[in-house]
Amino acid sequence: MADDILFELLHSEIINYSLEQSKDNKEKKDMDLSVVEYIGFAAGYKIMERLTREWPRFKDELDTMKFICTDFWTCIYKKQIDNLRTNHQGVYVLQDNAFRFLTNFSNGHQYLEYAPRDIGIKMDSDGSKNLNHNIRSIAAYSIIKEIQELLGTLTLR
Amino acid sequence: MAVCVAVIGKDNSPLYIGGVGNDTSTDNELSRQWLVHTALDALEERLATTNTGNAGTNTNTARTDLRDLYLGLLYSTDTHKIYGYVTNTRIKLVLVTSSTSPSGSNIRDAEVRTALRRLHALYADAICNPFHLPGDQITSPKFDKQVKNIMMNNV
Amino acid sequence: MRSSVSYILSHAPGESVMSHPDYAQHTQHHACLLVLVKGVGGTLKSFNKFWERIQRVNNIKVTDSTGQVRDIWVRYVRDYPVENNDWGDFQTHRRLLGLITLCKFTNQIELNEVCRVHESLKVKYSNTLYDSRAFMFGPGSNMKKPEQEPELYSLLTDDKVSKESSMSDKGSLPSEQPDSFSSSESFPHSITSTASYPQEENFTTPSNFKTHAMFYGESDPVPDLEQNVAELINSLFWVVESKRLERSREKLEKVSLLLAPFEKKDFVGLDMESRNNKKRCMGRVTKNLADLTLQAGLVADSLSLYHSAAEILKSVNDWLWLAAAKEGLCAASAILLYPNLRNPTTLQRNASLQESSPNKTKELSLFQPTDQFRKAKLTSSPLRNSKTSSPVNPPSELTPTSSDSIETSSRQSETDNADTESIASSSDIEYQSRSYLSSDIPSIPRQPPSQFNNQYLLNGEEIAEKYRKAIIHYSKYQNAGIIETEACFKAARIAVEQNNSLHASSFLQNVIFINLTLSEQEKIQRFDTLAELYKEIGFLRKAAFCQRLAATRQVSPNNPNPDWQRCYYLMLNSFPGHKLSLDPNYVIQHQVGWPALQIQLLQELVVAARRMGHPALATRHMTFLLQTMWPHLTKQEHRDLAIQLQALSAQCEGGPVPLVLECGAVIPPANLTHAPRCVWFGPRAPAPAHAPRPRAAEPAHGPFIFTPIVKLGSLERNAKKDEGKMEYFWVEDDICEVQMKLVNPLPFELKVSNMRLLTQGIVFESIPETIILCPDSPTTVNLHGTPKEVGELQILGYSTHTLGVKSNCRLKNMPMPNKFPASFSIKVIPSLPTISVETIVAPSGHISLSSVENVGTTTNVSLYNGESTECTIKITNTSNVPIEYLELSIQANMDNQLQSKIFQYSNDAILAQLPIPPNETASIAMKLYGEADFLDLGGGGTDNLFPNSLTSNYPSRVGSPVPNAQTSLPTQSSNPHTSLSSGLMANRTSGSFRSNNSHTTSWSAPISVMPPSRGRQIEAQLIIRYSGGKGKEEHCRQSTLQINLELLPSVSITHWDVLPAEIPSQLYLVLDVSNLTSEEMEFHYAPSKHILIESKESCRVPVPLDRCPFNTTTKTVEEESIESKSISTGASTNSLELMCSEHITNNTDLRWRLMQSDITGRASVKGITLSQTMLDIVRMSPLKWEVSLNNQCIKPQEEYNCTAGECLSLGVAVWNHLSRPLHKLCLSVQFYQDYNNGVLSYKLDNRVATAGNNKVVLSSLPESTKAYHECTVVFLTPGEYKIDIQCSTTEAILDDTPIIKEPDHPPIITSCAGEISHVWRFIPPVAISVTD
Repeated sequence: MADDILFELLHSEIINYSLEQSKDNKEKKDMDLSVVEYIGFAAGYKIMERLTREWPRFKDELDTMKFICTDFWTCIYKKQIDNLRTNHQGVYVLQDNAFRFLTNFSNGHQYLEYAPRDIGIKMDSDGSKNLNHNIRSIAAYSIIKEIQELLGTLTLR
Repeated sequence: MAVCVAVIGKDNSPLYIGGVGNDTSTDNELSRQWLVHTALDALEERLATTNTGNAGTNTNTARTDLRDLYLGLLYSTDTHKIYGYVTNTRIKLVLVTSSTSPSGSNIRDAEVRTALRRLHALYADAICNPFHLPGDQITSPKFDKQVKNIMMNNV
Repeated sequence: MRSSVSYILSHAPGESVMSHPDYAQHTQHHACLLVLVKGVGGTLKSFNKFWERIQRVNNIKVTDSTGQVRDIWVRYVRDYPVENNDWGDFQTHRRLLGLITLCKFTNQIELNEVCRVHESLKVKYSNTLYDSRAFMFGPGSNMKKPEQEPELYSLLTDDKVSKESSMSDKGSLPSEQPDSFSSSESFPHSITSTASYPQEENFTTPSNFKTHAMFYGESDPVPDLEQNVAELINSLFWVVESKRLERSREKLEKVSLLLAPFEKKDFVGLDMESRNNKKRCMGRVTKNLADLTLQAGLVADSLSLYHSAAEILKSVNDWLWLAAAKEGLCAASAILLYPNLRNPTTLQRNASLQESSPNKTKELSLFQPTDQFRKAKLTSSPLRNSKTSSPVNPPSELTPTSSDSIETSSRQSETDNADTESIASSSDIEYQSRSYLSSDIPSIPRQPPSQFNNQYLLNGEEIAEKYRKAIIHYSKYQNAGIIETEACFKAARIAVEQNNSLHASSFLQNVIFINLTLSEQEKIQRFDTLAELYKEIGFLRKAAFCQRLAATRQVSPNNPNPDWQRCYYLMLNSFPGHKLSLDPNYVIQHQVGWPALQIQLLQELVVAARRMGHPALATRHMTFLLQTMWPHLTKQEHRDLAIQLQALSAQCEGGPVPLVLECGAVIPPANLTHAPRCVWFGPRAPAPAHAPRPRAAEPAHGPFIFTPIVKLGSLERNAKKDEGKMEYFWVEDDICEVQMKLVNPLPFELKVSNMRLLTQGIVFESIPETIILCPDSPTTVNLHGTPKEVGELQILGYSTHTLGVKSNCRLKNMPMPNKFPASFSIKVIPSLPTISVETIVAPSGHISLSSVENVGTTTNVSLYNGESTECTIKITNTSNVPIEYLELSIQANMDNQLQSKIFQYSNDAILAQLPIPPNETASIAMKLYGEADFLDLGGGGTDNLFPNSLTSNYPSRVGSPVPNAQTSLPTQSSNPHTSLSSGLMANRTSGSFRSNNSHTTSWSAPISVMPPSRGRQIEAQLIIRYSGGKGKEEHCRQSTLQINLELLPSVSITHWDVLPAEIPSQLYLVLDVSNLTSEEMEFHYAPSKHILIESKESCRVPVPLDRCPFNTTTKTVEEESIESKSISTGASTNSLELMCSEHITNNTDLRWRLMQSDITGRASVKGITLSQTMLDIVRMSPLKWEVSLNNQCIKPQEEYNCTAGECLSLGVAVWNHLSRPLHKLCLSVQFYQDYNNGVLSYKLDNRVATAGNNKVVLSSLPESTKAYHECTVVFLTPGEYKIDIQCSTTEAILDDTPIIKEPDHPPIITSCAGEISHVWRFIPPVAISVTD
């Protein structure tokens, strides 16, 4: 429906814009996502305050992660995480088989290199949420075989 | 009545400290800060025990549910009672009532709980203010007014 | 944990209220024997050493009568208030049992005194004291122990014991008395040891001194100290033990009521026979027994006793003692549960004093309690249990079997209702208490078999709970406040041991509620202890809070003797609680904590430091406050604090050195980087005049490369890429400069004195700077200094001295946001010389002095065209480095060739003067010449002076551009730009002029740009590059000297022409010379020929010249013909023309002299152009004539006379001087009459008759050969006749094929008439006057 696509379009535009901005001042080739990341952080920071308001206190990390996979994900990406795995030592693997910001990419690999930048904002919104949970998180993402699939690894310290 | 309400960030930096009464005088302000500041220890300790779960069950403080954001009475001095509330995002809300004044001494736990809940709501709104940077002090007069409200009428 | 009932049975605080809380008390002290250690008499210097040694003897083992090993714990105190002693019945561990005095005396009197003191102490604590020791330290190393028989003591103890154990049946006592002594072998041994001193001096202790005293020399090692102490404890133990037994055998009916001090009047008039009070008595006695048992080392047993006591007391609502019982229970359990409480804490309590405790005590206290603990817990084998847990086997008839204790207890459980605690054990106890009344032979339950012990043993949670209850009970009694407080602390310590912070905190929290009438000191101690405990549970903030309270108490007005020092240290210690660090940089980097509180604390700290008389600290902390809290302070606060700081530093100014406190803490320096704030910092390249340049490089990129802008930019770049590495050099021993922009954020004028640079690397001498900054206006400051070595110099920052505080502001610690590199590093090269230049221009004598500092001091010289002057440049070596390399070069807006004409100097002359030692002067002579082109190219007022020549002039010169273009091409292309542009600027004003001969400008630019008619400005820079010293190979300096040369017009030559002179080898160059100056001019145009020209006048002068010689010509023609075969002879003629013009130029020597301002100069006709006809005149003709009349040769200018009708024979001989044969020469002779009015008539047919040809054609005339032709002529009528002899060639227009013809061959002659390419005449024409 319209309002969903609205957000997606806005999101992709934001990314394009910020990339444009970062292009001229930086000459280094790798994309400068700091702007996007900050947007993601601030947005995440604020939205988390609301989302977790009615929730009982999280018992532990796993509790937190569950929240991320369900409520948070649904709130932002209109779906839950498809697969959550953990080694119970602070490493969590989130897998989303139809990541909202990537589903619009055509099937195929020609967009592979652009994919990371679109993830930028997302990665950070939950990066921030983790921050909000006093958990320093290192999020590493890899796009796997289907471009719509997102594999995110959070290492919680 | 609550004499003081404080919002404290996850890094224990004061985000907002508001008090009613003659809080213009600096010493009053200071004493308030001392009060809340010293309460942080108990708050954190409580939190730690909460998360580890094996907290002493039979402490005399009113702690109904481990998973409640409301921590109840942290401790009381001869003049004040200090209640704590920690959001899921580690934002600490502290409410201080004076045990000397009649209204404050016999305040019910439920009232404090609701007051803090409302405070939480206010905070959540306040940080959605686009002009508020994450981690900054909350300077919005609106927030201040509302908080004062809570302290006055509710408690 | 306050009891809802407030102060039941409360009284006005009675006189006997224990008013001295003992905060240091721990739970385990319940099991300790209390011993007072006191120094008496003169101060014993090694007292502390002894105190430590004594304290290490805190645990000894005693084998009791049954061979059971007890281990006894001791607590030593330095002093003990008697009031507390009164509570001994309430809790026996409060009794002071032993006394040890360390006495110092030097003579008999003092000895008596110390003995008296000792005795008085004994009296003071008489009602609890069991035994005492006196260590006497007399003068001298070894001394005789005064006669004093130990029996006295043994008797004393003996009867004391007997007295105390009066009621007890003697049965048991003797049985243990002996082995009590036997067990302590140390006792006799000690006596012998002390007795072993040889008699030396006689000191006698007073007769009333009945104490076991040991005598030592002051400096004796006192080897047997431990033994003696142990032995004291031993004896104490036996007393306690005996009392315990005695107590345990009491008949319960007869026990007297034990009272807490304040209870005295509660029970007056109560009948002791009431059942309640009986139980009360029993309960209290049991509790008392439990205490003793605990002290006597039977921990396990005490458990049950406490328990039963508690039961009994509860039943009678004796809250106070019930609380005590519960506390005792907790204590016992704690001791068993946490055995290591005993040792580590005791060690830790005086950890400050002792470094390492001897192994003995350690392993004792470590392993001993543990296994006892284990046994207590172990319930399996009854055999072992009985062995361990009933160490004393009292007479069998007194011990009830454990069984009946159980079954008795199992009843009565119903009666008890309101009991919430320890359901497990409640049942049996109740019965016991009942059994007391019922059984006719009642007896206090002995320690039951140990399988029950563990049920009395409390676990961690229960301990806390019981303590809480106990405290609540205590809280009901106002007078038990102290007990309650102590209980709280004990409980808290246990909680710490359990590391249950919440419990601990709640216990500690409770302390605050207990309102006691305490002295300030005690209140402070209370806060201290609170703080310490809060620290232990990690409540740093709370700890800090308490510390601050304590600190404020220290100096509170109602404190009789405020102690600012303690206050200060308390505050200092509360730093961590406020998330403050002593290191300002740390605080700035991690902005944690609550600014408001930190500021408050710091301000208080400053006050404390000041009041305790340590101004340096005060200043330091105030600086710290300003520096770290700056962002959190308002402008007003900034101002106030700054002013305070000034006031403080007036007493003691702050320096950037760490301060060390008495306690050993080091306070790192605090540097003010906020006032003044540095917004810009950067070293500057040396001034252009001083800037060292690589010698190899071209000086072309002149002095303007180092403009500030460029430097600024470069610095920015450096700042971006860190390691601010400068690409320019500094020079050793030179004044170098660092520029910084300071802002004074304070609202008043700020005086910053003694600003220096902080450097590292090579030696650098910084020159202190003092400035005054006005509020909020950025001020630029330049710091100077001189590097003293060669190498890499690093600039780390700067140091200031402001507000009375010296600060080292390092760039890396600069506050945000302006980011500086951590340091600037600059390469310093060996020192180079410096010079000052001075120029003297000769005629005008005008001197311009130039210090090298300012670039290009200008020298203004004005010259007339053609004038030349001398200019001396004096170079003085102002440095102390010899100048070994010096080089001059000129930069001007003109092409080099011209420049070299105007400025003339010799490099050799310069080199000859090197090296220039320091402070010596070398002078360089330079010649300035007003080079100019004097020919006015159709410029000036062109009125045609003589049309014919001019008409012949113009086309020729204008129309023949090509060759000159060739010749002048190099100069033109050398730098067309300069020439062109200078051309523009030179004659901007005369559009007409340039339009006239635009091609002229194009073909000989450098010349044409200087019209003689107007003045010109020549700006030139004289660049002096010089060097010397070690670095002379790599670098040099360059200073520039600006020379403005003004060239004024002097003369100009407007027109010119050439006329043949009288003699054929000469000609006249006729010039129209105009004097452009404002003075009368004397113009020399030939040796000994001059003319005066009025100002702005012009006149015509003939300049005699030799004709252009041929031999020079030939050569030129030669190569000309060779190189340009193809081009027409026009080419050759033009090259000839050029040659001729040079010839003329070189041979004319024109000088002028201004009459008034006797200035002389030269002029030249350089670049003069000649037309074809002129050339013929200028050049010597290639043919040489020999003309003879009647065979006599004719000299020029000579007139020949003859008569009419006379026949003359005219002979003409022609020599060919060319280096090549001439072909088709046509020699012709013509007669005419010159009417001297410019009219020539050639119509002489009726006047002259000629015989023979008057025209012959020589087909070819080889080089240097002679052709002769003769003809005869007869003049018919008289008159003036002239003969024009000329020879012309048609060679040019004929093709090369040589036509060989006979000399006289008519067709050819005809043919040769007409077209004539070139004609040579015999000048002057032969003149003949014919007469009749």
